[in-house]
Amino acid sequence: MWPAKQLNVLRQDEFDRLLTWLDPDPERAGSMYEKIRWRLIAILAARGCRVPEELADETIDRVARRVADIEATYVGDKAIYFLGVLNNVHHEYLKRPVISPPMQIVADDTDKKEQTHICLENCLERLSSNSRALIEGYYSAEKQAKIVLRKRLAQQNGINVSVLRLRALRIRQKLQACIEQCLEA
Amino acid sequence: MLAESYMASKTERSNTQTPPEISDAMIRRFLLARLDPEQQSAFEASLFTDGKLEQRVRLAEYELTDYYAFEQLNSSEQKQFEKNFLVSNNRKNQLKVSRALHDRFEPATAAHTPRLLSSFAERLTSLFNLRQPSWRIAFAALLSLLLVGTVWLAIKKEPQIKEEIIRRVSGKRVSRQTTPLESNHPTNPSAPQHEIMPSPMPEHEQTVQSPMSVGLAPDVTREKAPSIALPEADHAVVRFELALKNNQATEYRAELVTAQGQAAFEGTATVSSSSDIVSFDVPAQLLKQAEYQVKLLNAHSNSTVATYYFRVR
Repeated sequence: MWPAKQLNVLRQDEFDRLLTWLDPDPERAGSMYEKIRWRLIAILAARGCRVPEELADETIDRVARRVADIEATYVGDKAIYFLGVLNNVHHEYLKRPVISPPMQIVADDTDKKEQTHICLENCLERLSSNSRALIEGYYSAEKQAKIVLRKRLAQQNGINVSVLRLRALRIRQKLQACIEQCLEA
Repeated sequence: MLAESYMASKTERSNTQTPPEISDAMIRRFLLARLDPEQQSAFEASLFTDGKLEQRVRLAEYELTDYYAFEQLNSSEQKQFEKNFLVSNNRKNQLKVSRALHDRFEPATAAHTPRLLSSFAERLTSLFNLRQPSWRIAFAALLSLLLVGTVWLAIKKEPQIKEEIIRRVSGKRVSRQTTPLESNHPTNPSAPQHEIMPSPMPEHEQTVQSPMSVGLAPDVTREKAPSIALPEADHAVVRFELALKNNQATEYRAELVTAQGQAAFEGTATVSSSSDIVSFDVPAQLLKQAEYQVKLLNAHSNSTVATYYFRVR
């Protein structure tokens, strides 16, 4: 945990004000919040930051604390404001003494892995027959055979390989959300 | 290879989808933290303003994670992935699902996709690999066919062989009531023959065994009659060689009579080549420990020619 974050804990009213500033509609505000957080993490990771989630949350907290001051006068894409604050947070992070956490490529423990497999089967079952056939075809075969198979799969669906890829990855994205929900249940 | 195809598809997409200046290859470099600082700044700005780019990057994250789980990244990319990409819980969760997808689909692929042999030599070696189960089954089937064929020929097509086998088997196993062949062929007419077959054996012993010869003279009285010991063999024969005073006839008969005057055996007496001895064979089993007399008779006139006495010890 970052010392600055421990000292400045975000209050609930500050967080609510942030969401309202992002969008008066709570649902859209929540969606926008998630998107901004994801972007911040992606950028921090791409900058080589080892704790992107921590810095992204610190960035959001700082913006939330400033909303009361800027909401009346700020003009433009509000997401861009986060990027500016992120640069400051990251700059401060780089000045900190390097305490690299040990690399963790932790293997899944057996129970969780098994549960993930069960959830995957459940989520595959929930897909439409077309989506399921597409995802099965997309992930089947290996290496060179996979390329041939995907070309054939694209031809069968009357689309090119690029569109097939996008469709498959969108189904993959749905599977991810479904499996995470299943694991939390 | 897959990476080339991936790159080709990226170029195609980057030309058809917005923004044209950001290719899928650049997205991948962004995710692996391999963009130079200038590209990085431009990319970050675009990511915050372009919703489509954001969606592309999200999908590229899944694709990259899948490639890692399916071991389709080169070693450099793998290291970059582990060091720079796998830094958030969200991405770690993505990897878990990618691994689950790999486990779900990759084994089935390996099992059902025929292995591509790189050369004709490999195919040939594989074809004639005698350790293959198919070859083992073929050899077993061949041996079974040979065995069945041999038995079929012996039983159905070659009755002589069959009889020979039965004869040999029965010769060794006289005492057995049923051999496999007899059980399977109870009406076989050759079966009774095989019980009769051993019977000539005693005859063979009779002819081969030399008879015990006993010389008897006509002038010897009952009191001075020779005493003989019987041979122990079951089918032994005692040949009495009866001396003649003078040869009065050409054909003789002889009677074995007990001391009580009862006839115990009679038969033809054979004149020997010397013409002064007549041979008379008596089965030893008819003789007991007692006194006997042999009456030599003229076969034509039935008159007594001479009488001979002997005693069995």
